Order: sequence, then structure tokens, then C-alpha cells
Amino acid sequence: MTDRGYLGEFELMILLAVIHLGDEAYGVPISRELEAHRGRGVAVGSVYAALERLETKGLVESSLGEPTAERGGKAKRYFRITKQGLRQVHETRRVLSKLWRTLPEPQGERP
Amino acid sequence: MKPNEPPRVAQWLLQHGMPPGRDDALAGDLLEEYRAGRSSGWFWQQVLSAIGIGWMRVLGARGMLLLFAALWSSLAPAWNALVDQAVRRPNPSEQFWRMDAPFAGLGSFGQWLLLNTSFLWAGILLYFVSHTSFAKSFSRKDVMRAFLSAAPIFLLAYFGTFVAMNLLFYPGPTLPRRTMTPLGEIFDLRAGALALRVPYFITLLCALWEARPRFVFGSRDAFEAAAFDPAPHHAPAMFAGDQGDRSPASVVRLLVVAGLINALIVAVLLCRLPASHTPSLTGLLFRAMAYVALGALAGTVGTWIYWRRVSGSLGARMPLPFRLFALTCAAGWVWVPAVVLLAAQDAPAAAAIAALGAALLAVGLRRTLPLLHEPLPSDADDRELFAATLRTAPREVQGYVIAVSIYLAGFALNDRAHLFASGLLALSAFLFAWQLTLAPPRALQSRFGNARATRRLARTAIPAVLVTLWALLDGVAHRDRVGEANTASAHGNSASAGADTNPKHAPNDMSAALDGYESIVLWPEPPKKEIIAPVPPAPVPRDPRLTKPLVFRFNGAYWYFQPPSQHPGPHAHVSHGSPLAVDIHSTTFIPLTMEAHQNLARPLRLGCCGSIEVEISNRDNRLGALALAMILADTSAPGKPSLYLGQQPIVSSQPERFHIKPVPVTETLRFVLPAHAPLKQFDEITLVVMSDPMRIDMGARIAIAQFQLEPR
Repeated sequence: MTDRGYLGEFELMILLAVIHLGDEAYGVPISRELEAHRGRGVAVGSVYAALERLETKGLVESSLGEPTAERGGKAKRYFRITKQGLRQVHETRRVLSKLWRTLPEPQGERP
Repeated sequence: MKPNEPPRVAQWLLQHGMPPGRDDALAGDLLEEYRAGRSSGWFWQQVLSAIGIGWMRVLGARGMLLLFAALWSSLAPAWNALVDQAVRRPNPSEQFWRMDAPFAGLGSFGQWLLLNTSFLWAGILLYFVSHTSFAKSFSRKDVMRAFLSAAPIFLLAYFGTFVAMNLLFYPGPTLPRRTMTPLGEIFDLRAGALALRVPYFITLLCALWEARPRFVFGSRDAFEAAAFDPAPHHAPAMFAGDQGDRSPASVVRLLVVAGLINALIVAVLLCRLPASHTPSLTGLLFRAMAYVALGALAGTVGTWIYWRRVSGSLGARMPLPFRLFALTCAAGWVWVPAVVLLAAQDAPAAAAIAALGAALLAVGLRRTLPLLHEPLPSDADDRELFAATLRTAPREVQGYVIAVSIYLAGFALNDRAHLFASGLLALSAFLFAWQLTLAPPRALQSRFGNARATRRLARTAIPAVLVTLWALLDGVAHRDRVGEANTASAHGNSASAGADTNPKHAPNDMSAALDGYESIVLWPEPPKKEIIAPVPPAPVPRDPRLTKPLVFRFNGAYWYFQPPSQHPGPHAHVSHGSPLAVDIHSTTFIPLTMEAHQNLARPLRLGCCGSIEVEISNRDNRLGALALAMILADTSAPGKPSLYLGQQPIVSSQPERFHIKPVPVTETLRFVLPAHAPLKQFDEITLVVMSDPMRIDMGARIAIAQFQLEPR
């Protein structure tokens, strides 16, 4: 069932950010990555909500780090993409690429 | 310069406002970003959005629960009306739990709580059973917690709603139930009905809240994970960890009870007598046929809902196909409307019909179902070693249940609790017929079984329709008899009183007599009341200054009212008799205020007298000091100005002087009038009884005898 379920835009962006950040993927860098690429702010709460959904679907997995003083004694939660998540990203890219190729050029405009 | 710590209020909100079950990672991330240079405004924005998103997600995951709780609690007004009827109806079992004061209300309270909890349990059971992922979502712990927490949560929610409604809408909204049908109560959206639904809604929500997955990182929720887990699953069971525990026999019992409950609910809500007082026989026959079909359909639907869920857990082990099972059981459900109609008329025949229907159901089921119990273990091995088997025969409890049920049913019939007796007799008849009927050794072939069950249902439905028709005919006749008796009584009363001969009142009397009352209340003949001519206000002299004491007897009224009113309002109780012989209590634990009002024929100048002496009679034999306060008022002046003259203790009620008073004790209290006061004249004297806190919920047996105005 999940093989046929496609990702939403925000979820796909988060998955790509998690892949890009590798072992350093936790809330703050993921949010910064999204802000940098989208060009506008992002609510950290919505990032966590999306990560919850992805974890429930089995596309990412998470683990707690050690508590640190600069975070007020609160631990970081690191996220990693799962094999199923990676397969899902590739599948979504394949479908989107196919769709992009069929996009006609606007008439009277030059690229 | 920006402080190193984010706003404390925002931090507190983040810590306490987020849905439970989350770790601190989000809070740590926000703190890290803030310390990296983000502003306080950014922190606030993030906190508020995180709380909003978190709760939206939690509530979104419980959307079905919210919808279900709203729908089930919408039935609460109809159920509440039924509970009210049940609590007020005489119940044979009440004699077992009846207790004396101060625990006299515990029996009714327990019955009320049990009935309401049953309604909530039915809802909780329906939620679990009808949930799409029933087999995989709920652990036994979840189920137990939901059922056990329902009653205490309901009590708290009911109490809270009661207090809130009294604070907001004192004395509380009233629902005119007499004029409402059960369907009307379900769709009633007025404030009172909505308030009635609130505790049920809260209880369902709280009891089932934890039965949904928590959103905790790191612990994948079984409920949602199951939907995405590609691994093959075993067949779902009734409860997690319960797979394969249910035997076909217990499933059949569950299905029969579920169908019966559904048929009963539908029959109670929908099977009514026709509105017409002279219905045609054809119309009644069609109505009887419709009710019989409705009973069968409701029972079948109720059975099917459970069958759909349970059959998955047993797979191929279900003892027979649903169609055959439904056809067999429908032969029992068809009797339910007749039983309900007869029980509503307090007809003893209801119990007999219920027993007949249950026996027919048991015989049908027994002849259709193959042997459901496991074969007894062979004792051949034991006999090789011992002369007799070491195993004891299984204990049969059915005999005890039948005996106790019949005994209780007789008791209930004697007390005219016919619905209760019907249930007991139906149970005993079912068990008795079940024991007597032989089961087939193996399941019949489906097509033969279906044909036989259909013929049997047709044979049973015809007498069921006739019995239902008889119940309708009897019900209409019964209702008309009651209506005529009430009408005659109403007319007789009005004729004997000779007072209310207004023809405008006649339609109201008729409607009151015929609007659904199905019993006659025989009141004892009221004692002849002495009619006292209205007493004019106390006469006072025209001379503005008194030269000798002015004495006049008290001929006013006593008023009883409750907060928040500070003065007698339209709901106050007015008594013109003497309080010496009556006990007036508050039934709501809300304090009761008692006042005596004396009007004067014309206003009297305040300077006319120096003091007012009040002679009272005290026959109050309850502990607690009393005092009397006096207020003079001028009702003829705009704004009704008043003057408070203080309070005087009633000496005979003080603890050191207290004794049991077989006859009233006379006492005189003196109130001094000030020489100068804003109030220039008065024409009303009010005496307020001030009670000790231990007795503020009752009136006092204090009677005002007379006033004596002393010249200045």
C-alpha cells in the first residue's frame, strides 16, 4: 500500500533534507535547510509533525542523542531515512520527472 | 541586549500546552535556535504554532472518536428520559438496597449511575467493535481502562456540568419531556438538551482517549504501523493477545445478546401506539406487521454488526452461515415489539410473551446449531488405572439461574415491574428450552437449513403479528380508558370546586389527560380545607404620632426562597398558614431563606414610635441558633427604600437554653427605631429568620404572633 502512496511536497522536502544532512539530521538543521532552500521561514512544529507522519509510515526512523547544556539539558532527536523511505523518494522523483517531461512550453514566451 | 533565556511564559506554555506523550526534542531545538540569535517574537510564534499543530494532529487522529462521541451522546436525552422513568418506577429489587436516612437516596443514586454507565458501556463496546482496525488497535488494557473509567469520569463530568449550568443558567434549563417523543429528544438542540449531552460526550472522550495511539517518537504505534507494515498478519482477534480465546459458543451468546439489545432499543424508541383514538383494524394490522418486521430487522442488524467483526477472528470456525443464523434468531426478535408494547401498559402478559419468544428462540437455535461445546475428555485412560474416573462432572449452573430467575420474576410480577419480570422469565425460558432441546450432531447443509429456518420464521411471524395487534388494540383501549377517567376526574374536580369553569381550560385538560399518561393516580381524598377570607393589611391610625402602644396581629405571609435571589421572586414558596406545624426543607442542599411579610394599611411615619416589639412562638426542636432581623420598607415610594433595624437572637433557640419544646414557647423581641433615618415612613415590615450554618437548608418552626409599636 505504501509503495503506491506518493509523498506530499513538504514531506518530500523533509526527506531530501534528512538525506542531505546525513548523521546530523535533527530538528534545527532540517528547519534551516528548508528555510535556506524555500527562502522563507518554517515552523519547527510543522517539521516535527511531518516527521511524525513519516516515521509512522516507516519512511524515517529516529533515535535520541545525549542531553546537552546549550539546549537546556534537552536531547536531540536524530532522524535517518529508511530503505523504504529512500525507495519512496526515488519513486516520487521518477513519477515527477515523467510528468515534468510532458509539460508544454508556454506559447509566446522564451525560456 | 537580548536575554539568554527565552520568555518564561512561552517556555511554560511549551512545556504544559503541548499534547502529552512527546519528548523534549522540539523544546530543545527551539531553545538552541533562540540562543543562536532568534528573537523573542520568533520564539513565541514557534511555540504557539507548535502547540496548535500538535493538538490539531492529536485531535485529527481522533476524529472518529470525536464524531462517535458526539453521535452517541446525542442519544443521551432520550436515554435520560428512560432512566428517569426507570428510577421513578417501583422496582422489586429496590427492596434489597433500600436504606434508611441518611442513606435513603443511595439506592436511587446507584440505580441511576448503573443505568447511565450501562449506556456509556454500550457506546464504548460499539466503538471498539465497529472500529475499522479492531483486531490490531486495542489491547486488553485499553479496553479494561475504558470500561472501568467510564463511571467515575461520568460522575465528575455530570457534577461539573450541573455546577456550571447552575452558575450560568440558575435554576437551570427545563425540558418539557411530557410533550416530546424519543426521536424529538434525540434531535433536540436547545441549551438544556445540549447541556445534558455534555457529561456523556466528555466521558466517552476521556474513557476512549488512550485507546488511540500516542504520538511518541521512537515507539511506533501498533495501530497506525499495522496499516503500513508490509509483513503479513495473522487473522485478527477480538482483542490483542486474545487470539483464538473465543469459542463459537461464546460468540453465539454474544451475537444473540447483541441482537436482542438492538431489537429492544429500536422497539422502545419506535414502537408506539397510534395517535388516533379510533384507529381502524386494518391500520393496526399494518402497524403490527411493520413493528414485527422492525423488530426482526433491528435484531438482525445488531447481530450483523458483531458478526462482521467476530467472524474474522474465527474464520472458518463459525458454526453456521450468517443468513441461517439471522433467520433463526429473527424468529425470536419478532416478539420483542409486542413485549415492549405490553410492558408499557403494565400488562402481565408481557412476561408470558417474552418467555414464549425466548423459548422459541432457544429451540430454533438449538435445532440449527451443531454441538458447540468441546467434547468431554475421555475417561478411558483413567479407568485403566482406577475403578472410577478421577474427573468430576462439569458444574451446571443453568438450573440455579433458572430457579433464581423464576423466583425473582414472581417477585417482580407481584410488584408490577413487568418489564423486569419479562427479562427474567425470558432468561429462564431460554435456558430451560435450550436444555430440553437436542442439538443436531453436525451442521445442516446450508440450503436445507435456510429453507427450514425461513419456514419456521414465517410460522412464527404470523402469531407474533397477531400478538402485536392484540397489544396495540389493548394499548389503545387502555389509553382511552385512562383518558376518559382523567377527563372525568378533571371535570369532576372543576365542578366540585365550582371555580374553574372557564371553557378555555377544557382543551388543556383534555390534552393533559390524553397526552401519553397510561396510569391512573388515585390520590387520597383531600381533607376539607378551611377557606379563610383575605385579611386586610393591618390598620394603623391616621395620627402621625402615637400616644399609646399600637398592637396588631400578624396576618401576612411566610416566604421561602433560595439564592442567588436576595428577595422573594416568582419561584418563591408562599405560605399563609402557621410554620409551627410544618417542615420545609431545601431538597437541593442550597440554603433556604425564610421571611415573614406584614403590610400596613397606610404608611406610618418612622418618628411615630421608638421601638417595635415582635411576639413570636417558637416550636423549633432542631439544634442551631436562630435570630430574627427586621427590615422596614416604604413600598409606596419609588425605588422602595428600606431600613435595616438589625437582628435579635431568639433566646429559646440558643444552645445554652435549648430544650425540646412540646408546646410553642412565646418570646418577645425588641427592635429600636432610630430617631433620624433616610426612610421617612414605612408600610411594610419584613422579618428575616437568620439560621445557624448547620441548619441553613431548612425553614424554622417560628410563627410571628403580633407587633407592638411603642410610642417614642
